[in-house]
Amino acid sequence: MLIETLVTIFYGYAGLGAIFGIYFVIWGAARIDVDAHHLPILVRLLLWPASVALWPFMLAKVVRNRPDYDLSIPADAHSAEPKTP
Amino acid sequence: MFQTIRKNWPLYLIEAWALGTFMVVASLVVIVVEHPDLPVRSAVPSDMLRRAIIGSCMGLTAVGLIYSPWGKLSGAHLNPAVTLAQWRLNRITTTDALFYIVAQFVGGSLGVVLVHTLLPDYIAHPSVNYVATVPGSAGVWVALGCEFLMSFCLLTMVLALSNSKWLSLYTGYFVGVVVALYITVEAPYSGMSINPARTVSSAVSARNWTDIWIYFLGPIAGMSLAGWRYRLRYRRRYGECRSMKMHLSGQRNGCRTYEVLWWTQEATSEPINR
Repeated sequence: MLIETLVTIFYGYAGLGAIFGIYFVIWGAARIDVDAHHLPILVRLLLWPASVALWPFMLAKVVRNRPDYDLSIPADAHSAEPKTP
Repeated sequence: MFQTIRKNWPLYLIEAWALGTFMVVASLVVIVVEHPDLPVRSAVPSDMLRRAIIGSCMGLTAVGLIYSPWGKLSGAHLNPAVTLAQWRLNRITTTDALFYIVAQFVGGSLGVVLVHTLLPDYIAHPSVNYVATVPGSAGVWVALGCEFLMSFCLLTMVLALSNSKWLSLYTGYFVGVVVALYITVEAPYSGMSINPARTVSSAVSARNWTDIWIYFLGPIAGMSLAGWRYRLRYRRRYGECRSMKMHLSGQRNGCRTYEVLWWTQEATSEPINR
């Protein structure tokens, strides 16, 4: 009985994770960080397995982060002085 | 060069410690799960489920090492292919890369030797076989292809995450999950190495060098290609930039060796580093 319950919980967790993973790959990652918006979908698909496993943490991160629609590149994105020659 | 060695020798030791620890844990976990004298093997008849247990333990070990205080200092590469890719991206100096790689081979080998010294009968048992990685029944080329593909995907994911301002903090967790998944699903085809030092560490004690070249060529080629593609995309997006924007680098995570070492000749009057 206990084993069956644990297996059911596991499948529920994984099922919810799979659904969240699809959302995360398509929209969620870009919601957390606009840089992810520029990643090809194939690269974002690589995030799917871990987003399934870690979905509660990723969901919390998505909920906490408001979408940032400013997709412009920061002025200092590639102009920092090198630390060492 | 000597100045770099004098400054960073503790980081080389950390790399040796990290892969050594990984190999000790791998050996112990495989002994506990796979050795027929211990109860787990008979209690869990499914090969895949046993691999999932091993994979979960190794994924957690990787996460623990990456987020450990020492791991944060060295960047926790644990893998010469990762170090070479970071070197190609100019995030780590040639001297540091060289000593990182030597440390990884020595540390990993010492880890397996340690378990061999403590539990010689267990680790030498054919069901454990020094946790050696050898190609499966599908053949050498399938093993090579799998090693290449896994390495490419892993480093592509790492570079994408570690350059995301808000996702970079989760890079280690994502790596842990992917390592667990690879071990669970792919191990029958190549043994799941994606790490030349990890394979050599087992081969030294097992004295089994079967198709060792696969575990050099696949991971190094896969991760180098991932690094090259990443840099290409970065240049396309940001143009001829003076520095790579690495949120995981420098003081953000406390790593002492990661530096922005690359810039274009057009951007500064200085020569290109390397």
